[in-house]
Amino acid sequence: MRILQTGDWHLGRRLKGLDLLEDQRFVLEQVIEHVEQERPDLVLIAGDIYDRADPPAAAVDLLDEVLSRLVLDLHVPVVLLAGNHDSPERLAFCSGILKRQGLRIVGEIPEAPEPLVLEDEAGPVHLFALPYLDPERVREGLGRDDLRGHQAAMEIVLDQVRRQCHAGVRTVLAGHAFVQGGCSSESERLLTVGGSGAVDASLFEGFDHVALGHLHRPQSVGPRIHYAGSLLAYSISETDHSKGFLWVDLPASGPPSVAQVPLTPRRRLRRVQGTFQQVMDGARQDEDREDLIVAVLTDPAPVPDAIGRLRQHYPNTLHLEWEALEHPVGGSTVSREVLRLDPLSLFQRFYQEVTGRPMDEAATALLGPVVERAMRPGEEAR
Amino acid sequence: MIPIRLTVQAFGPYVQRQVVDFGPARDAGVFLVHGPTGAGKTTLFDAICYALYGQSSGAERTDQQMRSQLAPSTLRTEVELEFALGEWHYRCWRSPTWDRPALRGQGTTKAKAEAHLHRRPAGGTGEWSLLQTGDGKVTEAIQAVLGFTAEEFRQVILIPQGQFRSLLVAEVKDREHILGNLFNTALYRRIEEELKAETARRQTEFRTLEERHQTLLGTGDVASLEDLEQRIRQRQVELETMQAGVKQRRDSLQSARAAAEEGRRVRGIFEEARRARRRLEDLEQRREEIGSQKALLERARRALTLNDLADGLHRLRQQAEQRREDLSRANRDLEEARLALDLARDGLERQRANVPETEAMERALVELKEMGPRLQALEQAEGEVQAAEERLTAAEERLRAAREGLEALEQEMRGLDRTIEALDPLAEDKARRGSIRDQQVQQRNLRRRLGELQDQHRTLEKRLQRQADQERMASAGLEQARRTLEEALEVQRREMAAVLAARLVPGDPCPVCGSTSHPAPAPIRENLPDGALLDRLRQEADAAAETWKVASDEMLRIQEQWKALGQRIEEMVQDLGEAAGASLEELEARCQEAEQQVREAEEAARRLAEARTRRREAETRLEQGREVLEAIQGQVQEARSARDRAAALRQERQAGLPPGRDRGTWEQQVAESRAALAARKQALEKAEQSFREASARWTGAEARQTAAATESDRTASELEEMDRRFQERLREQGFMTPEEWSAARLAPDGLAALEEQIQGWVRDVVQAQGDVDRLEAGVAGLQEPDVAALEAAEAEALAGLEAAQAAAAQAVADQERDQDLATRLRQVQSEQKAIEERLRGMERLSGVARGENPVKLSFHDFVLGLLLDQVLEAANLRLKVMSRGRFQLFRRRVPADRRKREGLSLDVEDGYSGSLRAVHTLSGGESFQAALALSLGLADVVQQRAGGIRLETLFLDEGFGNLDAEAREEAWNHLAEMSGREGGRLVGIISHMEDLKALCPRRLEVRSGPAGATVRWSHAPVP
Repeated sequence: MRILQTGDWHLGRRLKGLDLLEDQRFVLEQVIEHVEQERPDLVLIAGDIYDRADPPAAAVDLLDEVLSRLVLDLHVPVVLLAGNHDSPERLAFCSGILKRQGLRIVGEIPEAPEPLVLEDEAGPVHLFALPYLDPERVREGLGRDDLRGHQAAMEIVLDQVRRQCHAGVRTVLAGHAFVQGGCSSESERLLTVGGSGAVDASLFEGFDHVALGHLHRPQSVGPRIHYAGSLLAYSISETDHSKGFLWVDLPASGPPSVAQVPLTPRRRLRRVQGTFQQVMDGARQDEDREDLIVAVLTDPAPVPDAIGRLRQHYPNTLHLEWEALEHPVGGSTVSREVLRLDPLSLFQRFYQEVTGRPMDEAATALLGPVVERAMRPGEEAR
Repeated sequence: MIPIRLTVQAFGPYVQRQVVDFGPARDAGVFLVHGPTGAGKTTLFDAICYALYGQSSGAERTDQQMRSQLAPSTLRTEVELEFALGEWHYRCWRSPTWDRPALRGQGTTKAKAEAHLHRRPAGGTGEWSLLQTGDGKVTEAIQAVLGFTAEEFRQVILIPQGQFRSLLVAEVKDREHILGNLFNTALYRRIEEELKAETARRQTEFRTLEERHQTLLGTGDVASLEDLEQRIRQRQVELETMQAGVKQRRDSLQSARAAAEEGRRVRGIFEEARRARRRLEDLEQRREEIGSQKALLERARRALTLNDLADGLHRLRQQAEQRREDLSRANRDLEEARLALDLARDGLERQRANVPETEAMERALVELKEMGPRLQALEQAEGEVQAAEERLTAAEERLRAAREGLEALEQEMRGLDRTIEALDPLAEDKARRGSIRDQQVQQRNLRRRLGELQDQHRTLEKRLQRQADQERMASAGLEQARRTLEEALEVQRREMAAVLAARLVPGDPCPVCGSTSHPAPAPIRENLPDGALLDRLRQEADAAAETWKVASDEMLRIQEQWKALGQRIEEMVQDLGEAAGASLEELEARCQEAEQQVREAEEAARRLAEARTRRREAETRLEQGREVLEAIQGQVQEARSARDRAAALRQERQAGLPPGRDRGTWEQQVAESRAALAARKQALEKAEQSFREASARWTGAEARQTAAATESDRTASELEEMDRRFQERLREQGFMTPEEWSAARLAPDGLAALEEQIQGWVRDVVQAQGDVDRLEAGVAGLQEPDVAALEAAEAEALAGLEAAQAAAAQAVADQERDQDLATRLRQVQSEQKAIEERLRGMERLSGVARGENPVKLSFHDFVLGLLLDQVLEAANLRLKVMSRGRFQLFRRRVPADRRKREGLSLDVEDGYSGSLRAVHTLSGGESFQAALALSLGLADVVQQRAGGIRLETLFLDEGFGNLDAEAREEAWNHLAEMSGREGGRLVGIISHMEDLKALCPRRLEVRSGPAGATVRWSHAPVP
């Protein structure tokens, strides 16, 4: 049994103001090609389909196109589940009707989860697909007021799932969560404040394969839990991720084999480093000028209008950093200590600063009573 | 400071009581306060400020405006905030002044603002203790606890609506205002101003002194100090001359005075003589008057002699009057006494009439008394009967108890009998069971022994086998050794030939065959075993033989043993018979069982013995019981007869007495009778007494009346006599009527006075004459002097002296005045010098402070600059992270034109372009970041300066307005990270934007409705 595992498409996302829809379309074309060639038994999209709960119309169009090609043209069953960026209700529009056509959209948190049953020569394979389990939704949906946190929510729902499992049948779990030990990037929205909303990997014991979405770097946590990662780089810290999707081959028995197929983006997110001059020189010879550039410049002092000039060669420069500035950042430790002085001493300091000479005794004697009077409120100048 | 719970009622748009529990907010870290515009979101923050400080967050909401317009007039406006700070929880409740409907009648009364503050240790459910009450006091307490004033609190906790970017893009003076308020830089401005004022004061002082200088010069009418000194010197000279003139005048005055004195004396004497003569003439004129007074004196002396008689007559008249009065009083008394007597007589007659009745009552009383003892006897009998009854009852009770006891005993005995019957056979069986048990035991033991023997047998068998093996081995070994030996011998033999053959010398005979030719000598093929080897082999064979023998013997021995044991076992099995087949456990079990049976039987025997003993006891007790029963029955009989006897006695005594009569009522009756009798006797006595008294009185009155009449007559006649005598005497002395006499009388001191007067006149006349004679002699031959002229001369001399003195004095005064003035002038001059010095110094300081210095920076601005630097430093730390190192804020340093005060303007350094630019050129999202960083930096600095009390709460009121979706998400991430990073800082975002709902899971929904606003936590994330 062959499954194409992908997820975290974030259709409609913008990066530093740049619209990525066309880039998303570009890689999705490649995905469709692979599906056409390999004809897998299932395409699994593990959440965060859209970037926002109310996505732009163009993103909706794109998804419509892609799903139509997969389901109607290529007749490959698709399972789609809602992530934390999606609105489950909106995403699962007409899910009942669509199920008959081979497109299963999972938005609701199930009380009695039913698996999707797939068959291959070795027998049945059960697939349980869970949407992103927001603790509040789980609490309300299952009527459990004592429930707190992502870990407890995942435990409870997985309990229900295990009740429906059959021993001896290969079982695959798909979901959208942050597993402890996984490595996050800047582009994932925080699941909860002041914590990670992570769940323990041990909760997923016993499944033959666990396909998860949410983390944008393709990675595995332990032998059975796999993240396909996002389709594209979605923040400027992801320059070193290799983006793609996963082929998951389930043998008759034993562990599945998981392989990544990298995707070629239309414009790569890439880092260039060096002095300004070096980078500019390099740009002239660079062929992929349209790439999304993150420039890390090592000049000791900032170059005027660096980004403007850089953009003449790399028009999609997203970000620019100066790594090694010799910028004096001080001057303020002085101010803090100075401000702690009493008014009289402060004045003396001021005097010295502005006249270049210290205050003599006679002046200090003159000043003393004046300061005292000023510090007593309510006695106005006579 | 972290809020725990907020309660509002009739406050702003909240009419009914609303409670906000911040627990869910604290769990989440960042939460959203969401609702349509004007629903009441910012009001929640106002409420927090109000609860703490009694003011709302902006000037646009005053006390009165805070009260909810829709609230019924009976509902009080209240706000309460419970919050945690350090190790305490505080609860702060406040209510503003309001017009409450009056409790009585119409109209409203003004209820004043109230507040109280409680606290308790955090983490517990202990009691709240009251810290403070009163609106102002609670505010002060809160300031002390939090360390912030209301202004500071607002600035640090809330980034308010519409002012989000104020600090960033504000005009310099606004920024100054904000910073100035927060950090109390007003002090520094005051210092500047105070310096200026002080300078002004000094200048005034200086000018005042100068004026004084001039004025002083004016008063002295000089142009300068030197002129004045000159004038002083001149005047000194003049003064000396004047002193001399004065002395001269004084001498001439003295002589004029003496002359005037003499003249006055002489004139005096003349005057006196004249006066004496005049006095004498006056006296002479009075001679006639004195004569008539003498005549009056004579008449008065005559009248005096009649005084005694007149007095007597008067006294007697008075007496007569008195007697007449006595008489009439005595008459009255007599009449009264008669009336009283009649009354008493009547009373006595009445009492006497009652006497027969009284006697009858006495007789009845006697009879009654007799009944007494008999009643007593009856009572006694009653008592006895009762006692007898009681004893009877008790005896009967004992009888019943005894019967019951007996029955119980009989029952017990019967039970025991049954038990004995049951146990007997069992006990009997004991012996039999014992023997069975012994038998079983024996069998078991035998079986055990059998088992042991069998084991031994088996062991022996094994040994035998082993031994057989050994024997075999030994035998084999022997074989082997022998074979080896044989072989060796064989070899030897064989080789012997070779040996021999070797030794064969051709030609010599072979020791074996004797032949002398040796064609084919046997070759040496193998090693020839030498003798030692053969010996050794022989020894080995012997040893092996020995070994075999030993093993064989042993084996035989064991075999014997084994057989013998087998025999014994056979015998034993036969003895045991059937038991041999049984296992040891079975036999053991049977033993146990038999043992058990035996024990049972023993137990039964024991209990049987017990039961028998008890039965004997019970029998004895039964006997005793029966005896006791008889005795009690006897007692019952006795008691019964005693009771009967007592009853009979009572019956006897009852006879003859009227029924229903008991001692109590009898006693009462007796007492009553006695009392009645006593009363009657008393009444009679009293009547008799009254009568006696009335008689006595009447007698007395009669006597008195007689006496009084007699007296009165006597006195009247005496009076007549005396009167007649008086009239006689009057005429003797020359008075016609008593009135004449009366008129001539004089009091004794009047008499004396008259006498004195006459005498006095005589004396005066004599003296006056004497004086005249003397004085006129004294001035014979002298002239009267002209005193007036003498005196005039004296006066003139005096005037001259005075004038001279005055002039001198004036001159002295002028001199002193001038000298005084000179001193003051000198003083003023020195003062002026000192003041001038200080004035110059102050002018310099003031100028520098105001900015008249090379840097053109005023003191206040200097301090503000430092403060702003500090704020920027804190802000930049955050901005660096948020903008990924792109932006940093700076203060514009060099103020080119002091009037523009650019020292407080802000610029932002953009890493992308490497240049500085003005802050208002930042885009929406960027300036959000900068403004947030700046506000947080400001908050940090405020907190540090307030002693580091952390206000772990922050509210953002709107400000997300001009951010696009990506910027919003970034901003949200920054806030969430910040909240998480800064150890649980609570961040509340107040906004009406729908899109934020998707980002923020924890939301407080504020809804407005017709009956006021409501607020509740919404759980489900609404996309």
